[in-house]
Amino acid sequence: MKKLTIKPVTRVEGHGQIEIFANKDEISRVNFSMLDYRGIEKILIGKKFSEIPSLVSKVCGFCSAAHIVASCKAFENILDIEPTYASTLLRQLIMIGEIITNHMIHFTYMVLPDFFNLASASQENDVKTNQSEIFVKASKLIKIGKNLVEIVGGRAVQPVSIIIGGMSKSLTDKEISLLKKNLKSGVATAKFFLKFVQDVLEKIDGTKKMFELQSPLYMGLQKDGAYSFYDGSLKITDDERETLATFDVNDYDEFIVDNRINASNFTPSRTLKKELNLLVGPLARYHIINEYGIYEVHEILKDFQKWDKSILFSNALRLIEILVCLYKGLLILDNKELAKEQPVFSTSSKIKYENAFSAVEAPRGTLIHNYKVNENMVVEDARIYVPTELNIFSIHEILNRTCKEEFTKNKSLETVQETAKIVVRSFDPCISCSSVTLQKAHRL
Amino acid sequence: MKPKLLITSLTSCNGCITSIIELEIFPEFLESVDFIFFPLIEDKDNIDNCDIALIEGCITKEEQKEEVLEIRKKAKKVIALGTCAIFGGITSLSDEIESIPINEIIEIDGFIPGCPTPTEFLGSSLMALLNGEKIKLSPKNLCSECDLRPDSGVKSKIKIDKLIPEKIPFECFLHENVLCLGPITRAGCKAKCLKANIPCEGCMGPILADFMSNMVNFFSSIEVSEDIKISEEIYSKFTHPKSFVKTV
Repeated sequence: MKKLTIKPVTRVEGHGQIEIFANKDEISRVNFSMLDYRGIEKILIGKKFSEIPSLVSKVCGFCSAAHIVASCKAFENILDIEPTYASTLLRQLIMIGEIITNHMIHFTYMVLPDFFNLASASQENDVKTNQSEIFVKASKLIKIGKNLVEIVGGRAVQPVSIIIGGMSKSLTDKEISLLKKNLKSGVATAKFFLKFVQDVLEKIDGTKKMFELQSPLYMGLQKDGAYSFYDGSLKITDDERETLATFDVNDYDEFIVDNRINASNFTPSRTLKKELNLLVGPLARYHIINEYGIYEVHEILKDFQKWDKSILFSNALRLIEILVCLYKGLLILDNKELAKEQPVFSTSSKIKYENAFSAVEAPRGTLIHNYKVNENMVVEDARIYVPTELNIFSIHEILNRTCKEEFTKNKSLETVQETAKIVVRSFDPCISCSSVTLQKAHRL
Repeated sequence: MKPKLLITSLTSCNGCITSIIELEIFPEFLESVDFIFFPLIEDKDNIDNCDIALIEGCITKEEQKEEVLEIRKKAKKVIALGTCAIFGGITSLSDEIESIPINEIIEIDGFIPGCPTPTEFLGSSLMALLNGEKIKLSPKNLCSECDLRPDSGVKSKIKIDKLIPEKIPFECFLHENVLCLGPITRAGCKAKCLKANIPCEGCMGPILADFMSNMVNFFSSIEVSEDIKISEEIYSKFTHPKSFVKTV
């Protein structure tokens, strides 16, 4: 038995490792583990709830807005208050900015080299267009997303304007027109990248089957069947788009169980009560919704349909979501209600429920926050379920299958290592997020 | 010859490195340096000789101690990137893990504070480093960058009973009974949180000059209500207790 360890797994957020256990003739097992523990869940216990949004913004430097919004929504449920409609629009603008930057950084700096390698392996070197031109175009989109977060959120990483009950800052007319101009200018660039990824996928058509997931259950947030990252209900479908469950996030424990694995070094996870693997993220969102709400996007998607079970398709879907978010952002910026908004600070301090959940779609998938508070508004228990943790069984399923197939075909441990990294990166795991919780603990 | 750079992350949220990637100058930055190790976006996986090493995050594991010692050996300059690396950061609040700032283990040649490091300050610091200059840290407190009327020597004690304001502040947060750590926090972030009507949480860390007397003056000028006193960490959310002693 030979053991190969890839550490660090490069081009992945946070510290991960892949271990490949191989015999002479076959791969016996591949394991992906996350090596960080920061224990933010525990840090939250005993804190005043007004401190929580700022504390959870430190869970992750990439998707902090998703954590802040999720925590604010959970406490708004606890207080039974509703932020104003315009506040929810401002929050969505920040989330849109975050989705654009996160997806674009992942695509450009983490995934693109793999695409180039896959394409060159199939002797199609011509996709390797001018790399610095790509970086410049990508940085344009990253800047659009970053400015959106910064202007609406107060600062670019870990925005501060989202507070329990509303928003501490509104937009001026000047800011609104600047943001409109920015977002409009991003549309053509997003389409350029979509065309680019379509060309690459055409050239690596042969690898399609290999990266397909085996009957996972897709989960995501949706609103009346449409794409939604801010609110709505959770939906679980199978890979035939059959709906298995639609539920309010406060019923989360009824549907998903803690399934933390003891004495194993991979991060504990929760799955559906059935023994099936859960998948969240862009591919899951694509499967659980009927529409993105933007007609043009569905026209573009027709060209990608044959890829719809492949994890590599997630990389194209991230670009689709960038385009959707640019259009959605423009719609919000055109909304007359937005300009009327004044900063809304919460004044309510009466607890209606001691325990509440909330869900948002973070860039990497469904993010659940759950808090229990006492009568002094102090947090007694906090649970944060992050996308990467929810995906861990799906990651392992496809990682093991593709690596084994690859080895049977080529008998090369080197290509197996490359394949393993491509699979892991396609999930865009967020190990900082996964470090919120204690590994090896049981909480059934 | 392009300068050789190493950018790595210990126990952190990756927020400071995200801030680097989000810099407008990042594509030019990529062209003008040679990364010998930057696992977030590069495949090279060996810590090798380099001109500048930027380390984000604090030390929570034995192997991270070895990593920073190795980097110290290989790098001409080691820079602590962000508040976790220099003061311990948010995980200092944990009872389970010990967050050790890197300057407790190795000598550093400079630091870029902030949680996360503020964009403009980060950009100018990186440019300074590439030009062989020192990072320019402000010797002033955040009140010097704040548009609200700064605390102008109030005689009676200021009562503090809020962490978040209830309305848009018209004058100094402290005068509106909201805790703001601006007076004892280093400037350099352009007071972005305050401009968004959110008080300073102190993420840039203390100003080194006269830190103790600043601290003492500040705490003698405020009186915090019992209600928020339970949250002791509001005064040092980002700071490992030991690092106060070391860096002052």
